[in-house]
Amino acid sequence: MIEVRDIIKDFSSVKRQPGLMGSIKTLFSREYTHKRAVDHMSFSVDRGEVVGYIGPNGAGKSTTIKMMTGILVPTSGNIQVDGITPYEQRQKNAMNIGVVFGQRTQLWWDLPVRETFSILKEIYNVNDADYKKRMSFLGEVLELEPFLATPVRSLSLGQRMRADLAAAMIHNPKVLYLDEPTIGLDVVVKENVRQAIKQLNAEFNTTVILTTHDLSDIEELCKRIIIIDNGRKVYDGTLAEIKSRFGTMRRLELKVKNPYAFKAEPLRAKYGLSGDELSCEVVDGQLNIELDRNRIGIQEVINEVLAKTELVDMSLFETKIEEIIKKIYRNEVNME
Amino acid sequence: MREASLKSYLPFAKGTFQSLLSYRLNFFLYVIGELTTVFATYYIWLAVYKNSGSQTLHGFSLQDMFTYIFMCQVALNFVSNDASYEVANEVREGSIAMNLIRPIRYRMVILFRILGEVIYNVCFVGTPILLIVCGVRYFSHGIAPDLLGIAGFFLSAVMGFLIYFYFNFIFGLSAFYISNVWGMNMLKGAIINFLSGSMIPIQFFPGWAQDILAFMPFNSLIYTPVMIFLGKYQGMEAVKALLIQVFWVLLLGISGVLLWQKAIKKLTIQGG
Amino acid sequence: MKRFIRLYTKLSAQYLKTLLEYRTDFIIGLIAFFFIQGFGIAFLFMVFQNIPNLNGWSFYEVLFIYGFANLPRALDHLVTDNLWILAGRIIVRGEFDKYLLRPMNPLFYLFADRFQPDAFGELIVGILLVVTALTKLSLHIGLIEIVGFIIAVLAGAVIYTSIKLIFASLAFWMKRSQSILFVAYQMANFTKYPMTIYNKVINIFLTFIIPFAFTAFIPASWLLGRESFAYGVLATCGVAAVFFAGGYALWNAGLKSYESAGN
Ligand SMILES: Nc1ncnc2c1ncn2[C@@H]1O[C@H](COP(=O)(O)OP(=O)(O)OP(=O)(O)O)[C@@H](O)[C@H]1O
Ligand SMILES: [Mg+2]
Repeated sequence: MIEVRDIIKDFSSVKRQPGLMGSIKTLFSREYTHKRAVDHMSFSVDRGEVVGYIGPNGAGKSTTIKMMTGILVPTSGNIQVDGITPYEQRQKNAMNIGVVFGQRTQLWWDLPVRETFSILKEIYNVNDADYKKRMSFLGEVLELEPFLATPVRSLSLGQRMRADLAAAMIHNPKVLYLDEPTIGLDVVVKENVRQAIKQLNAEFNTTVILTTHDLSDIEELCKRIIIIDNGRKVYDGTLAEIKSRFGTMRRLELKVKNPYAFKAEPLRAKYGLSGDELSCEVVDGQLNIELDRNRIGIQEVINEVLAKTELVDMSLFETKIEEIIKKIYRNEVNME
Repeated sequence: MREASLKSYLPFAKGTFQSLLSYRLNFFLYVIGELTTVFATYYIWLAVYKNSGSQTLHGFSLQDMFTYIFMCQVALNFVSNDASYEVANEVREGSIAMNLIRPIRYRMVILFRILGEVIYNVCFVGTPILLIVCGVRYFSHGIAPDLLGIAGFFLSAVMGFLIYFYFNFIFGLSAFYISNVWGMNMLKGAIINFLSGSMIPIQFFPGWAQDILAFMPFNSLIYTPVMIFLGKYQGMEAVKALLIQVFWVLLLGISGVLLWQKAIKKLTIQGG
Repeated sequence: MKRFIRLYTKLSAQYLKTLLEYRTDFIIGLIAFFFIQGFGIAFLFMVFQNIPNLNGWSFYEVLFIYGFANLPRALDHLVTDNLWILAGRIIVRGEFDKYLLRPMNPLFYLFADRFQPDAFGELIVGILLVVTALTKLSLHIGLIEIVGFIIAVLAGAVIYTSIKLIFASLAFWMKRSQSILFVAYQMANFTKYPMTIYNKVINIFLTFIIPFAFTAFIPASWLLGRESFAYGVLATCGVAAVFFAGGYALWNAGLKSYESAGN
């Protein structure tokens, strides 16, 4: 469905010089500063896949999406979406895609939501029967009914996002690009939006590319993730694989009589562990221990604690996916 | 409330001045754009004097007329600002109430903000034009710069500035009572532009119109300072014109203060 | 074509609804516009009190040119007002994204997305002036004149649009080009008077470089019997075609260079 081959995007901006002469010089000078936002990115996506496209701020996610939607022309490389090169055949491509930018609405600001849909119906040439069918489906999934008559500018953020999603789906696009569709939403609305995306994908077999900073979106929606950092691809695979490869860290939270009695060093020396593989700290009188399950058994650690002090209460946590991703962003883990 | 000294308002003037400074390139392009109208008018007068068969029209020689239309641009620098729009906006958004809790006078804040803009305009547009006008008059027509006229021009233009400022202040406060200040603002601009004499000297207006305009403040904005510059108002006549300006400053100034006090009452009673 | 018209009406109707929410402002704005035009005419009238004619042009002839100038300007103003906003903020803020995401020609969408009802004021004043001047001038008005007039007005509007398009498109590279667009647009001020009053440089500039002369003075002169049909109408159409082709090419090049905006 989507083929991204070795694309690069450079942004160039004119170097500004201070002072009056500077601003006149700027008008005529050809001195540019270049910023490479996307660097040799390649991937392909099959029909019906839901792919999470994640990375830290400024990694190049939005820039990639803008190239896939035809807004930006890549500096080099090639993109095909359903056999069309988006930035060369924009109008043809536009018929195939739906886009939601969480940061900016595509709806008509001053008009009631309902009007927006009727304009879109004209723009995408949707016939009456299809329009009715989809409106009732989207209306139900996204719960649009209560605010159909409200002008877009007076919608709450959650309502606006749901309306934007519906607007992107009204012509039943083959591909749906969602750039931070859950930004700024509360937990309930977030869940709502996720469910809607799930249902849309299931109902129409729509291919979905999703960027987000909320990894629970990814956990709930995407089997596959692509991680981009500094414009480069650092991971492309399933979420499960990341978890099994890097998800061996565990966190023990212990309430003990004397939290300072336990020390990590003896165990580290005994098993030859690094500071990353076993560490401990005392927070609010509670002893927290981080350990790598592959390197040292949980039982050994607990035994050591019991030998030193008296245990009152205990809980065990898996390392959160956030922690793993954070480590990947910070280049703290080896991806090879 | 302790009275703030003038010094505490200076940052407002400096602020506008500096923010204008960062737009200077665009600013100059806009100035050039505005001047096209003046140049078109220049050529019209050139043709008019050629076709009229007389040296002067309503007491204006061709030289006077050129000086007049360009000096109007200088005088306009003193009376082009967005005070009314700014005040009206604050009224509509309710942020005007914020000014009641500050130890400074709202009127003065606006005045100084506008002042920053005016000084900027006068420095970078008005003065250069003035110098060019004086230069052209001296080098191609042998008319020496009349220092008293220039001083009188600036004095009178500052009066014009004050009249316009209070006029706008009142206009802006009217947003408490009428809601369509945006449209009214455009209307106001059009009317002032014409009746102040900046398109064509008041002498060229029909007699009845001149009689009516004599009782209005518009003359004082542009026409009076330029006439003083040209030396067409001299001695007692110039003094009289300046006194009329003083009268308008006082009348509009006092009305502005009264209206502001009424507005404060309205604010504190109804909460905006 | 039918789809274009349907879409255009649909989008304009939506914009009108938006405007109606601010209708009092709109009406007062319109009144202000009539005042501005009225003062312009009053100026001409007062000037003519002192002279029999202006370089051989009578008052009503000048009025005719002045009125004619309003018509192409109004038509362009009505449809392409969004170019001002494009040059001012749409590109620099990345708001242009939305015009590239719909299955429509982006320029068409940009035009359809907004129209400027102030233009009706220009149009009405223009028609009134042209009709008044014509009745006073007792010119021969036959079929050729009427058809030629309509064509010239439309071609003049295209010239306006093209010049705006060229300078607004610069924003794709410069991010903002409103001030340059303003300077260029203001040049049209020269062409609502008989251009024989200007020197050669101004005439050449406005005929060949920024050809606003073809939006008013030249075609109006043809109707006043002072220019040939070939120059007054055909040349106007030619200039319109050439400049529109140039403007559209620049626009297309701009689309390729569009950089959107980071957050
Ligand atoms: N229009 C632009 N002009 C210049 N630089 C840009 C532009 N758009 C993006 N950039 C730069 O390119 C890089 C990638 O930006 P992009 O918006 O793609 O990041 P992102 O991954 O979407 O980040 P975020 O999570 O913050 O949305 C950033 O360094 C950004 O500053
Ligand atoms: Mg982004």
